[in-house]
Amino acid sequence: MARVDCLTTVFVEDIPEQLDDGVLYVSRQCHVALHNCACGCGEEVSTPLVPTEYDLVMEDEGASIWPSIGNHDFPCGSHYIVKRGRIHWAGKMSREQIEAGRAYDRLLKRGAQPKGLRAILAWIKRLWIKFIG
Amino acid sequence: MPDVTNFTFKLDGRVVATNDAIISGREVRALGGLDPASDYILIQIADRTSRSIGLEEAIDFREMPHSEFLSFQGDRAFSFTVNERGWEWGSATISAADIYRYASIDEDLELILDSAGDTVIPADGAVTLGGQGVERIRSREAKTVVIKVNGRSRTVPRRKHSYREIALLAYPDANFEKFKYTITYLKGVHGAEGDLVEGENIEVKNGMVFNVRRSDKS
Repeated sequence: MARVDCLTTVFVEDIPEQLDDGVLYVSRQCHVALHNCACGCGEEVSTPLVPTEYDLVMEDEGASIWPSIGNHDFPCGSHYIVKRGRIHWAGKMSREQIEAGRAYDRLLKRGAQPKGLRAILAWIKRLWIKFIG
Repeated sequence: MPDVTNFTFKLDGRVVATNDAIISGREVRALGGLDPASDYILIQIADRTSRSIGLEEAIDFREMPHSEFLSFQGDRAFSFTVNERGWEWGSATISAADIYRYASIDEDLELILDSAGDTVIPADGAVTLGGQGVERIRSREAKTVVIKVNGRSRTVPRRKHSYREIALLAYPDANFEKFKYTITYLKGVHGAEGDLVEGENIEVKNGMVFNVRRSDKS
């Protein structure tokens, strides 16, 4: 299986049991998008489209998913951003970066939602960690 | 001039008006544009029952205001029962969706075919009425529900499910020592939504949406 540099978006109600490489399956009804890891390793990547998980924006050129796809637990360790249907490969994240991202996830899900200035600071911190470290 | 149109009924979903309190089955067909009238079976939907209306049969709208009719091309009515109430239908098959709708059955209940050893009728299925004898259909509390896990339909027992059980539906080879599974859910009982973590259990319902994302364990 080969690495892909773009994803074709297909809107479906039910996601097929077997996914084709290079295809991003989006089910609005089920609030989820699935694709096979862009590196070609065959692992299935689930991006739930709920406020605490992922955002998907559809444009003419293709879908953009935010935040980045970090398959740190897969043997491939792939890390990339899907923007307008194209794969933008990112560097592997350090353990600290991964942990900081997860701590933020936990805060979003279970902790008090940051408000006002704190929310903005947390967001800047998250961007900082993602791109600069 | 006063409005002389006093009565309305529904035929195949369309509203039809008449100023006669009593009309025949033939006239109902004619008012609905079913021509020739004798080519059509007319079914009247009543309170959790339905019956075939003959051409010369009189319908009194004073007794049955807001009557609802369905037409079927054909010359035979099929009898069956739904929860012990007599039904007639103009086609040799009836969809489960029509049974739920016209029998006012809660969508959380499941339909059972008595004659086939309590076979469950799928919610998107149908019942064949043309066979020997009268089909007997019942509704009962469903033993299973269909949920969506990562966009795929999964039939599961109707009971509480644990974090691990849901994760295993998404990843049958889930490894809880090595990985962490982030589970979010929507459209739960009473519209419940949120996330499900290790040690928690949740009641499931038809159409409930679960999404599972795998990440490594820190």
